[in-house]
Amino acid sequence: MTNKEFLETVSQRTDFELKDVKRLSSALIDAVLEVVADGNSVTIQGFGSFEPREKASRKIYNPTTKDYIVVPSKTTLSYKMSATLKDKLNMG
Amino acid sequence: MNEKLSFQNITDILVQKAGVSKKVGDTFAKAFFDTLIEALSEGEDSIKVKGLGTFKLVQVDSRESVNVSNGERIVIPGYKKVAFTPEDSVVEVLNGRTDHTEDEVVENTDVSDHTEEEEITNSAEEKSVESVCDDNNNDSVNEEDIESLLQVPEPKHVEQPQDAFGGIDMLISTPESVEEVRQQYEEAKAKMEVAVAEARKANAEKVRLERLLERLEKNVVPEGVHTEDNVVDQTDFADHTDSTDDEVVGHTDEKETSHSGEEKLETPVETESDDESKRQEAFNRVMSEPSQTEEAAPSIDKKSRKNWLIAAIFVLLTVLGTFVYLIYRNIEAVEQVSVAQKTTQPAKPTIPAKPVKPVASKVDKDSLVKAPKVDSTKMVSNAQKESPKPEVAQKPAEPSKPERPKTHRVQRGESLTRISQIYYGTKDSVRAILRVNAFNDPNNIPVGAVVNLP
Repeated sequence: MTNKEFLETVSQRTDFELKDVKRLSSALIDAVLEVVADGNSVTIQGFGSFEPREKASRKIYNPTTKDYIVVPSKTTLSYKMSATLKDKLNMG
Repeated sequence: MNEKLSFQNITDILVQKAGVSKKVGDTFAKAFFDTLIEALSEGEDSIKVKGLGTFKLVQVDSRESVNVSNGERIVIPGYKKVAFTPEDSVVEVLNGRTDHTEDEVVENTDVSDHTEEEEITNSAEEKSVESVCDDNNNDSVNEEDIESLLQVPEPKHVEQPQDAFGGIDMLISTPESVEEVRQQYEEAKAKMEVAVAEARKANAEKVRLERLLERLEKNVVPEGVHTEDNVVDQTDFADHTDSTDDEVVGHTDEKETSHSGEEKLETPVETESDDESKRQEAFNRVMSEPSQTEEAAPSIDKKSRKNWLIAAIFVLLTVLGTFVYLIYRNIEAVEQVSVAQKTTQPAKPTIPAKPVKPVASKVDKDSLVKAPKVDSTKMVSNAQKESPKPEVAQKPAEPSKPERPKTHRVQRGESLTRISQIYYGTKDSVRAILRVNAFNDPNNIPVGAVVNLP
């Protein structure tokens, strides 16, 4: 499902126009990212939780050039699905 | 920091950001996540949400484990889970802009290095710089004056000096290299001068031809438009314009012969007025496309020529496209009709363009037994399936064409996966390679060993 299809489904569900759905979804994503960027975690009932996760710096090895390269540490957005979603997915 | 926020907090922020009512924000956020949940539980493979990332449905295989309390072996059953990959932009946002500035700094140092190198080459070889300047000047002149006619020779003399510079970086230290480069430069310069002279000649001729063309175009352009209409629409309107087309074509033919006769254009004023009247005639007859003729009239030499070319190409493409489409449709229709006729003889569709509907309706009207009707529809669907089949059958034969060697000598740093990737385009052939080889240790193959390729 592409972003477009997804937004269309949302607009059908809410009876909002696609234009508004686009605006609102980007605002919603901004809201989530803002909260996560502050170091907080967000739990959405029935869907899962988003939280920032530190990835430690690591060395990677290129076997052809025999070089070690240091990948710097960084923070990524991690998502963990909720137990209810897991149940839903594995009912069948 | 490190707070656990809920759905409610997010919708509050959303309401603030988007400036909507609480109700709208709430329903939207709910619908947003409900859609995600529903799509995933309906078995959607992946959902891409722009600005956030991709949610993917992943099957986790069942695995064995040990019960900690009593040491029994147990099997943890497999399940589906949702994996999430954040977009790059998200990671950038979370990491602030520190990464960006670092990148920029690195880039800047790179740039400064480059300029230093350039300075060195400049001071060492003034002549090369001169040639660059020459080239630049000529280029600008060429672009303005000679344009399309020069496009073929242009890249030639830009490339040659650049190649020489590439060599300079390496050779600069020795005096012989300077001589060498100078020679190359001399050669390039000579070639360039010849090319420029040629280009000037061509330019002069082009300007003359363009004047000629411009006059001819004014009458030719509307004709091109009409042919397009004829092909695409095939309406009554085309019949009307057909006659005028012929007349217009006649005029242009006349003029072409007259122009080619007096190529020098000694009396431009006369021909101008002559053209004017003819154009007016064409204009009056072809009032349906006034915008086109108007466009053609005031445009400058280059533009009109370009426009005309584009129009011609467009017309050609549309003609080809419709042609191919019609042929394809005909083939399909004939197939369907023939199949339908075999099964249901009373049904004889007269129009080949829409074979499916008439067949079905006629069968209905004749009120035949239901069996043949079902057959006909089945056969139609079969016919539709058959047509794409041969294409599919041909495709897999092609990739096996390139011959691959029977053995491979292992080089430093290579792995079996890599070899598999090279020869088979996939990492999955490692097992196949292992099957035809007897390695002491598949994880440590000595350099220079020969690997048999299945």
